[in-house]
Amino acid sequence: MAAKPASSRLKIIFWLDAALLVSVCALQTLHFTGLVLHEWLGIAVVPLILLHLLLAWSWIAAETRRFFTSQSLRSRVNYLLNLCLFGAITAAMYSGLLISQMAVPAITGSKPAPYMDWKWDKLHSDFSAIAVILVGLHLAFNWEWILAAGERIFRRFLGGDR
Amino acid sequence: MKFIRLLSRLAVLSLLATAFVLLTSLYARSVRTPSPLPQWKLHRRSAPQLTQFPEVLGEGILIAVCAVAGRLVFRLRLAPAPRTEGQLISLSLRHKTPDR
Repeated sequence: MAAKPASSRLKIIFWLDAALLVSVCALQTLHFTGLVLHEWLGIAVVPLILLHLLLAWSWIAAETRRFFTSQSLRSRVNYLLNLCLFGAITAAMYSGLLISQMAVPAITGSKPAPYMDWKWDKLHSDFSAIAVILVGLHLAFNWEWILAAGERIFRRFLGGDR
Repeated sequence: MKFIRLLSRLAVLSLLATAFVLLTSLYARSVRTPSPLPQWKLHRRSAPQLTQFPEVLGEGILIAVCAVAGRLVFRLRLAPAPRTEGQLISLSLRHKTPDR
């Protein structure tokens, strides 16, 4: 059975998620990006995450309402996992802004801190590592959606458009 | 109307983010300041190093491993579940009794 043609909304969500995944991989490799790109990319990811959440708002609202009533264990675990992911990313962003040497001083016009706050640096690394693990679990929970969306978007290349 | 709805959703997300920031700050107070390791300073080069691109692929592989592990831990299936799953199987252990 051929997959239905992908809607523009589906394409936006799929490519937005793909961009977020690539950004997370790049943000974890400070050797590759360097500090300047790392900090600016970290700030640029914030509106992408907000858009990701706004596009999934109907799911968030429905699952929040159902959380305390009739919900399966899988849905509850998925909901808590997403909440933890949001928390880990928020903590990583916040700690990243506190130890920023380039981007935040450039935006605010202030001088960068003369010394590194190692405590926040350590917390930034820890929360980022937790966020990566949770991103993997987030992908695990949404695997079926990713496969279905990919099939609809790439159906021409997969030979389904006949 | 749509704009107000959008703003209210952004406000909810901001409130939640603020709550997590407060929790992070509280947690940070309880953490001791670690002594800086020499290799930490070496990490902080400003310019990108394209030769380190395999690290990005390594992160992608790490996320993929976490995803596969997550599917195993949460007992999800890599293939869609068969349609027959979840249906009750009658073992016919009880003899039929005539209706009263």
